[in-house]
Amino acid sequence: MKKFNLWLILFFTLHFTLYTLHCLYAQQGGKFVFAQLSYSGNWDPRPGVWDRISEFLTMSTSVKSIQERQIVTVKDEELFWLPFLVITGDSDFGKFSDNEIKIIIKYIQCGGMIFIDDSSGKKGSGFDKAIRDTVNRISPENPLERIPTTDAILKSFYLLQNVSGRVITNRYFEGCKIGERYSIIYSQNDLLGVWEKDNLGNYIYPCDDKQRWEAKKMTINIILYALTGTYKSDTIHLPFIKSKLK
Amino acid sequence: MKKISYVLRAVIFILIIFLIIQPKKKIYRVRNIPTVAVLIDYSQSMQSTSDKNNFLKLTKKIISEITGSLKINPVFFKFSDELKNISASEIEKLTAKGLRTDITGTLEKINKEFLGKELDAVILFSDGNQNVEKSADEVIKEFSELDIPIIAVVPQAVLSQKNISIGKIDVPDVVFRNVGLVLSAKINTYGFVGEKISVYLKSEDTVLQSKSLDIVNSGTTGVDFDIKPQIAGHINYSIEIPTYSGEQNIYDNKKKFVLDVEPEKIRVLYLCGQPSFNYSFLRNTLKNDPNIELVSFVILRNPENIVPVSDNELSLIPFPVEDIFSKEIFNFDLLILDNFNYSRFPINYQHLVNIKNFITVNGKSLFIISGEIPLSVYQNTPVAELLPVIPSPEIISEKFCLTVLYPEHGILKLADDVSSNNYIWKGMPELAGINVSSVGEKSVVLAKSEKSNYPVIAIAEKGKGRVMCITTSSLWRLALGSENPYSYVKLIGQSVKWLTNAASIKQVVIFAKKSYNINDTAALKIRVKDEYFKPVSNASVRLEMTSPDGIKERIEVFPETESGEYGTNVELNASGEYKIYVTAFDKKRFLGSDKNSFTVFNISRESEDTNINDQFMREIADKTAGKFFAVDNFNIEKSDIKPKTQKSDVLYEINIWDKTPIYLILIFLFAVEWFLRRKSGLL
Repeated sequence: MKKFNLWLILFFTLHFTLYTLHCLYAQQGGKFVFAQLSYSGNWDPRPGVWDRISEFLTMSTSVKSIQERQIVTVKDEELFWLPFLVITGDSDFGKFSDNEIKIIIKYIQCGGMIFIDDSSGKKGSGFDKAIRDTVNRISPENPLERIPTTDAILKSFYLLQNVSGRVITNRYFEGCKIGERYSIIYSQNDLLGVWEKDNLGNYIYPCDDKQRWEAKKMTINIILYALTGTYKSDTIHLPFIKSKLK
Repeated sequence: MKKISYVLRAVIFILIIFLIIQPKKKIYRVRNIPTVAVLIDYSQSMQSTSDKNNFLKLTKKIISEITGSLKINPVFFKFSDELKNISASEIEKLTAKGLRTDITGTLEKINKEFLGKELDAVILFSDGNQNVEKSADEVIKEFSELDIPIIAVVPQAVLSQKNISIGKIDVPDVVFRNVGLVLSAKINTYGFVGEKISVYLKSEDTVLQSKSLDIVNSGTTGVDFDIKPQIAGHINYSIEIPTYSGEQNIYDNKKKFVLDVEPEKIRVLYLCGQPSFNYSFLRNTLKNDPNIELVSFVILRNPENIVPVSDNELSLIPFPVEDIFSKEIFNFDLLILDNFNYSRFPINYQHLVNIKNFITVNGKSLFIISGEIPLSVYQNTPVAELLPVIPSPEIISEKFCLTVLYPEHGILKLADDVSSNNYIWKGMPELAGINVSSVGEKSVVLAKSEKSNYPVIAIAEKGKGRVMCITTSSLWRLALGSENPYSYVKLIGQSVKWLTNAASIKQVVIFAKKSYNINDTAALKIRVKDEYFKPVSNASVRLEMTSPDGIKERIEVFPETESGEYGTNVELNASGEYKIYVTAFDKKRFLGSDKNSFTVFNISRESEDTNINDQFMREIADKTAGKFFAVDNFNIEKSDIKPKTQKSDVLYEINIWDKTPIYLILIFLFAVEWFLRRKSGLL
């Protein structure tokens, strides 16, 4: 009898998990989903950031988002329900297989966008080397290039003059431009690190307040860029933005 | 004796063989005089190239040189746009009154006329002003291959005339408003070497540009005008040259033409209630379409959102409700409302009436998307009357596959053949989230949810305009989740084309040239398709034409060999603007309508260009191994016309062995041989 109960509990737990997952993917048609890639390496050095970002995003913008972070591997079919994918890490990781690279290429070509954040905040880190190698395999024809500060990413919601992060490893972000927008954006400044708090609500990683604030704004801009593309580069916005920047 | 007997036998044997095979001797007719088709162009331009007696001089020359000649056997024809056989006696009475010149067609007809008959050469009397649009290359090649030389004779010594005329004007097929283009015109000048002439580009009698041409050589000089049409529509232009002293024809110094100027691009106004992946994918697709000019507004912040920075630190711009819904909307061709809840903005009833009028009165289009915000927010507003569905406030978050109901419809046709198209749609990924609705009156559901059967893609014609509705915000999955993201791009592109009633996606389309000259024949073509874009061959097609004097008449149209195509020819005897309107029905079911218009200029083809086109005449002569003459220098001797073959058909045959004496000789030889054998004791 006890064995039967255990099976029953297991069955309902599994059913509930699958149902929850089904509902999450089903309801996300028009909503923003924060999806993070799980891979063979330290893929989740900033596990709690989405809760903070989501709260701030909902408070300050009209973006409707799903509260739960989605974790996917390259081979998961759900990847193609998630047009915005975050890759974080702080150390070297195992190479993606050729098949996985093919899937990521298809993801990018079909309209997906990837934001990569090096949480180590160090130049030439193991993660940096591994991710550059991966990006070269994904986008050999459009390699990483410096994103100019005039790009729509820096004005998709907040008007920003420079990029920021927990540390300023680079004064720029890099990206692979496919068509008119950047489909891969790469930050070496541990951008997500500025959001991480402990259970008592204190920031885990120390950082100058102004710098943290700028990094938070940059995070929102990246999400808005994923949802609106180069909208803020449209001619109709230019005179307004110019006058505000004066 | 033996030898004589052998010889006799051999002779008898040969005689028997000849009697069996009956050889005949053929007597051929020997042709020393070549047969020549003499073609006389009696179109109006043959008279006006010079003085009034010009054509008379030509006919006299023909009579003196050809009709009396014993060196050729002439067969006379007169032609303008039709070919007619005439006798030598009729040439004298011939007057230049033909309305068109069709040299190419005439040569084709001559080729048929002499099919199976001997034709050794053609003498073509013409000014070379072909004004029926046909390429001469094929027919010239045919004459060359048949070894029939064409002797080209122009009415007078080419360089003796003094004239300026406007030749061909090259106009691009598609012209957009505010987009620059080059108009190239050929100016033919004779007798103005070393002089400067002015060329004007005019529109409705207003000079737009002028150019000064230095005439270095007689012949053709090119002139280009760079223009940028400012307004869309049917715009009349003309290229004109002032009349210069000594010109033989003043009527060919002006040439009119029409530009059908399209709006720059399809202008799309995209209003989105919130940033979303649906917006991102749709905007990206529209932005990358070179035929679309996109203006989009996405609401990034609502009043309830709190931003802890000053407005100057935000890139947000005010949403110009009044400007958009009162004025600017009417400058667009398509309005997209994507999960846009009007009630959150100061959009009043009149603004919504303007949206309705934009569609129903102005003939523009609406593409409305729900899935996050239900379309029921528009209930009891003028916009609700436009919707192809009856929406409920409910949004269900089910995952679903699309069931395509009309895969052949122009919007959903992603591949040319039916099986490939069905295969693409069957392979489409699942979507998620649907605004529950039912189909509206006079609307068509193109695709529905496989599970719940709720409409997903629905369309309707509302007044003069069109409306399309998508009840899910996850259409972007057709790009990200499918094998080929181009299917999504194509679907959106075709939706925009259908909505804006682009010619390529209209069910009923009438085609006509933009301009004609008086007395031209307009060939009107009509293409009819049903709502699933299948050609309809047995449609009832009604064509009405309003002539420049306002008289409306019904024109009969006839089915053509191509399935779903119909056509008719209309004689254009009055100048001005003609309007044509076509409607098509399939057993009382309305398939669609289309309208078009064209202008008829009061310039006959013959007076449009009266210069001698010696280049064309020389080309005909050169390529067929013929000769080129001005009429004064022409004579039959110089033409060097010879029969292609000396022997022609068999005059008679002589059967030399089918004669009584032959049989008698044979009997005699048999008898001698018998006698010799008997004498020798061989019998």
